[in-house]
Amino acid sequence: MIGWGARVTEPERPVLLEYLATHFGVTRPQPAPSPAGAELLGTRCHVCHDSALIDQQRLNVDGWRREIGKMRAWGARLTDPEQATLADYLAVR
Amino acid sequence: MHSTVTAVKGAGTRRSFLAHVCRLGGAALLGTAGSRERAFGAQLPNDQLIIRSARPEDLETPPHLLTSWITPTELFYVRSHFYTPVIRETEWKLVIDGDVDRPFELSLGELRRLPSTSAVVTLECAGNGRAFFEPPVAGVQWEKGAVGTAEWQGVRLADILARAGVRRTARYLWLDGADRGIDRAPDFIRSLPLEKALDSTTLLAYQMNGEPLPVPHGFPVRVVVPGWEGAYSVKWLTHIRVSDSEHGGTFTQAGYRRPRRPVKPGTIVDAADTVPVRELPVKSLITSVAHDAVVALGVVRIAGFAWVGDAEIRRVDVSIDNGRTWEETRLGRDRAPYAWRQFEYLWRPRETGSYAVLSRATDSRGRVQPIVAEWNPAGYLWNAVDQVRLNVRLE
Ligand code: HEC
Repeated sequence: MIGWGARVTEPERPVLLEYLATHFGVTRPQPAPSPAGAELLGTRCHVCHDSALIDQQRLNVDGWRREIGKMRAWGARLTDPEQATLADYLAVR
Repeated sequence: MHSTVTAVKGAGTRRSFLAHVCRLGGAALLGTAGSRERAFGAQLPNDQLIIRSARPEDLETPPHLLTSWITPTELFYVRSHFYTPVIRETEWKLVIDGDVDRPFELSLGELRRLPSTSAVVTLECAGNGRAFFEPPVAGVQWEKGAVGTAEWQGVRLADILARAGVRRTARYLWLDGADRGIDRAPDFIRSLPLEKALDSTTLLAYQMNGEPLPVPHGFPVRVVVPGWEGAYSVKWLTHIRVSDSEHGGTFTQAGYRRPRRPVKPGTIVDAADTVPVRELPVKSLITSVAHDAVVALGVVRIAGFAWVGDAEIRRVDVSIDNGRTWEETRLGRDRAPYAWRQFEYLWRPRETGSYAVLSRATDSRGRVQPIVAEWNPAGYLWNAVDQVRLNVRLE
């Protein structure tokens, strides 16, 4: 419906989805890819190689956590919470 | 003289680009990968290769381009863990030390003056086929073409070791190249068991298909360890350290290992329960026809290559009826102890339609290519029966 022209702002989305889920049994969507995740990917990951090595992977969130852990050991600069955010992002995007 | 690879066709632009990256030094580490990476990609030796990664450089050969027993150098797959080092021919030297009586150094000129030999050897990346494992595993998502065959010329590693006088305690060679781990990544060092190092076909190669080794393939010298997964064939070799133990680094203790016993797909396996990946398993690859090819009703040439690390290929069968029946193919005349063998089968379809063409190799020890590849956490040694789709039309 948003695609059909209805106007829903970004902050309104979760509220509306929650309402639809409770009242009409609409299934809750997968967590949307977070802008924070995209930002981390763009600033911390394309340092030593480009995105091709990342884009071709088919990992789930656990796989991504481990892979990002390896990259941190090799020099990628992320905190633990950032690692979690990025793993979630890469698994759903 | 600055020239390192003048004999290599088309290497000029590439070399100047590498030199450029070198001058940038640390800056290359600090972002702006995008535009420069693309510029580099545009200067790759052959735009027919699939770029899995531009830098580090990982390039795959589309199988239908593998038409000859010897793979043309410009079509040969490239696998690099880290950035390609630039080595001046005049500055290169090889150090041999560790558990030897007479440690020594060799210049390239000295190495080239030693008695040399050549061998046709197939190299395959351990991760070739990783893209087909389910559940997926991390790593370069190679499909079928991280394999190729070249004629390598160089000095027998055994001769070098004889000159150094290997001590009784020696069991492994630690092989190190001029590439370095990026930032905090560990150096790429592999350990080769002494017994395999003494195999008369294990070479320190400085020529590939009659030309000096191209930079992406390890200029000026790479090891060629026949029959074993490609990572033993260390590129840009600078240091051989003889030791009584395996190297303790990432690329021997964590990488290039597989579970001792088959595991449930998706399992995380403790390093203590793993063994090093060594010999390449029996495998075949269909190179004609290309996957999903459309051909006119008539004779169809089904062909490809089969190889195995520690035996000979005995036969290759193909099936065009989803594996119900198999037909033996004709094996090519070209052969060498550690090289793949071509197979060919001429098929005359009676009807139009879309067919799965399968190939299955059997080696001289009776081992048959499996229908299902053994899942392992790093996605090594995919060797399931190969399959392409063939569409036969009237026109
Ligand atoms: C310090 C340099 C560096 C940074 C920063 C870095 N990587 Fe890597 N990454 C590498 C290198 C080097 C390789 C190639 C390793 C190889 O081929 O063995 C690699 C390979 C990979 C691969 C392929 C699988 C593998 O492990 O070889 C993935 C996926 C990946 N990186 C993801 C990421 C992500 C996501 C980030 C951001 C969190 C990131 N990288 C940041 C150096 C880095």
